[in-house]
Amino acid sequence: MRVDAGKTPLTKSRWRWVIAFISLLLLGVLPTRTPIALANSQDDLTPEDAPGWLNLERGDRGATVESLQALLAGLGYGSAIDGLYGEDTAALIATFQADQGLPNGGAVTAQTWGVLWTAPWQDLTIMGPPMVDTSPIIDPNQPPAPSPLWLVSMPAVPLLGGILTYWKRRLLQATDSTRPSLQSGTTSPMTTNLVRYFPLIGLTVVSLTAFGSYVTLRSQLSPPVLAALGQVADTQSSQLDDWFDQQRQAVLEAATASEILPQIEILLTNRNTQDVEYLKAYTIFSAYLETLEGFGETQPEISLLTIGGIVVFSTDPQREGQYQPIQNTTTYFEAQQSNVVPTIYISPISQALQITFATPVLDETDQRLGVLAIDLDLGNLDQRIREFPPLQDLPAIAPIASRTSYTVGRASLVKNEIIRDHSTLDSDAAQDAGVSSRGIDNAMGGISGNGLYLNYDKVPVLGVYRWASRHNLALLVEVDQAEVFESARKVARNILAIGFTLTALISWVLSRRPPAAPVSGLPSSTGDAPDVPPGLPDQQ
Amino acid sequence: MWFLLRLYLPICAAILVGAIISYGLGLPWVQKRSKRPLHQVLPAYLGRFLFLVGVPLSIVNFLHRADLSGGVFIAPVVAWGVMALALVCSRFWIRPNQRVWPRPAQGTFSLATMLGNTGYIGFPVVLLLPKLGPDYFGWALFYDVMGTILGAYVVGVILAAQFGHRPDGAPEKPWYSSLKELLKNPTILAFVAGLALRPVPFPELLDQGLNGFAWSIVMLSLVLMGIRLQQLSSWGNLQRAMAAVSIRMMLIPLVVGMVLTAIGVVGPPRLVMVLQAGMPSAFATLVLAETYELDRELAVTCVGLSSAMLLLTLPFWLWGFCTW
Repeated sequence: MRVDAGKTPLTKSRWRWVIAFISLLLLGVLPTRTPIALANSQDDLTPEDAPGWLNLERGDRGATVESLQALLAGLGYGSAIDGLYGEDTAALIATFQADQGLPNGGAVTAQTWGVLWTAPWQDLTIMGPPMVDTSPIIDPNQPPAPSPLWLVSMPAVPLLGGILTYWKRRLLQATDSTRPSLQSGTTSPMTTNLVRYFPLIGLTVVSLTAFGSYVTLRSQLSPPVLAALGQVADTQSSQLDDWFDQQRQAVLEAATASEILPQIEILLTNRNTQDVEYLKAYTIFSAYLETLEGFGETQPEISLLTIGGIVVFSTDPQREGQYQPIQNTTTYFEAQQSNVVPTIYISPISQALQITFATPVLDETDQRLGVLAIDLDLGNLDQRIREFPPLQDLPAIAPIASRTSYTVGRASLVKNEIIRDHSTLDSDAAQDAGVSSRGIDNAMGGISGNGLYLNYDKVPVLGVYRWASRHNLALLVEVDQAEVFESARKVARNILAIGFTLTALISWVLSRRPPAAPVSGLPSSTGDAPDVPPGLPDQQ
Repeated sequence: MWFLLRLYLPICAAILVGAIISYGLGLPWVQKRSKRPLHQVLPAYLGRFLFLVGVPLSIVNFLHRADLSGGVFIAPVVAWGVMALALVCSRFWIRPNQRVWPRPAQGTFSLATMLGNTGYIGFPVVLLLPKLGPDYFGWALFYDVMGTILGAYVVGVILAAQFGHRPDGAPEKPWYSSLKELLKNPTILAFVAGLALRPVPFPELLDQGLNGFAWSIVMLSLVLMGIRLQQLSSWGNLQRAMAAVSIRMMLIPLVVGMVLTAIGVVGPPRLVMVLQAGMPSAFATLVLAETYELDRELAVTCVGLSSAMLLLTLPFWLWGFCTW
């Protein structure tokens, strides 16, 4: 029985076409738009989109109003935080809106909230914006990870598409079973090709979508992180200044204590180390060093040298009696020098970078008695620098565990090394070759900046590098790219998983249909070869 | 983009030198003056030298200084995945029009999609790229030796035998005969030797000499590429070649890059894998096509077209998968 042979296949193929098209559309549009839309949502949030609690008017009261007032206060608009949206608050809002060029005199809309939250407020310590953890639009620095809703709904897309396709096909098959399968001359070649090449097309579309989303998200993720790293670098730079100032001050203090001068004089002049007076002076000097407070928690090695460079006292007793050259390696300064650039060298004892501050010990007549040489506790400096400033001000890098900051000094003309505790040195085999990365090399060349590069361990990082010329050190603050781009990676992974499943499913569904032979008379759009009449027996 | 210049300059220069040499040797007055056809003899000797001596020694050298830590063994897995994907994709492309595809053309199409030139051009790209360098040679090497070479000798031969004709009168060879060839392959022997020699410290003079030699081999293999590319004559079957090359150099690297990203392989290893997956069609395709009487013309077009295409695709992969 031939029933309307011209019409039915057309409808069927149109169905297939529509389903395939919708699936592709979902595949292509939904995944890319959603996360990016979330990341940007604060820009295109309209009042209609806003949750109810966001819209405030005169007479409202509660925690949201308090937050509003706190935000306003932080920006310098008023100071009262009473949770009541009265005339005062309305007036403040109107002023704020006028200042920011916003419409709506006196009422708070999503737009106002957006400007409030992104405005550069500084001294806001009272309270943050409401529901910080649940709202995706609050933190301007952190493009949020895809919402759980999105993650749940995405797998539903292929399932739905698959079920729909399968169901439709079953229905069509049931009604078709009595009809001979005939290809219509009116089926467009494009539709046919779309169906026939669906696996390849699907694969391409899915991969491209995942790639596009990944690259776009990635490019959005790095600027806020770099900005936050820059802030950390600023803080650490001043830490560096403070630490060196403190050490320098402590060295000068230790050398200018007049009450200990007689003992120092004995130590420097009395060559008989078994002499009672000498031993007494030794003990007193040793006890004096214990009482020094200027060095804080750092534990430097302190040595007392004669003018000739012979160590007469040292907190490291092995050095006593040895000759310690002061010329090349030591950073020698006197009390009146205000700016001292430390000299960095490789310690022959620990094979690690070392800075030795030295200052003369003067007697009452300002004659130089000897020299106090102090090996700074660079392990402590490293510890200080590696400690990050409070992270609540740095939301962009707070959740990133791989954050690190460290200082690098020049060990020789061709070799740079990381400042670190001597005791941790042995574990690092790469020490002999020194460390190198674009950040380190740039900073050592006197260039400060930021960027994406491989760190000294060949791990891709986002980093900020600074050259601290006052201290002859490079300061680097870095986070692993992998961790920063994790949310982009997850989005790409989800798109791939969903897309590949969908492609496989649709391809399977489509392949269950008898392949539509190229229509005679219509050129094959792939242009592969001269047309062969469909009736020819398959050469396979 | 300065690093692209640093990459393209040596590669293009070496290939150009090869092309010029080949062109010069092909000139009638050069041919008249020599007894033998130099433009055929020279590349043959050069190829044999590289195959038997040059490439094995440079593999030993680079393997000696490569970093084999950090999951380098993923590389062969990726390589096999790439070949499987390429095979599947090529079937998907052929299947809708199967009746208009001659069987030899099908075979060549699949081979050209499947086998990438991961050795002669893949190694130089990884070594010369300032963002990768010899540190990551291990990844490229594992991909090539345990992936492409094995693939060419096993899957490639089986595939070619299926789609092609055995030369008339030739005795039927069992399928494992190609495995014997595999065991005699100098590249694989050098790979094994290089792995064995890794713990042995070379004397400095040998080390430096070998390194210099290895780098000149890298450049010499590019020169050979240039000679062979210049001698590719036919540009027929362009549309089929386009399809094969598009799948090989655009779709597959994209899928590989995204799948690796999805499973958490990032950084330089991912870039090496993407680049190796996106290398132009291998000359092995041509060899197999000639041996098994497949569509030689299509193979030639694929190799030529894909080699030219590499210059366009490389910046794209670097943009997408290199963030340092």
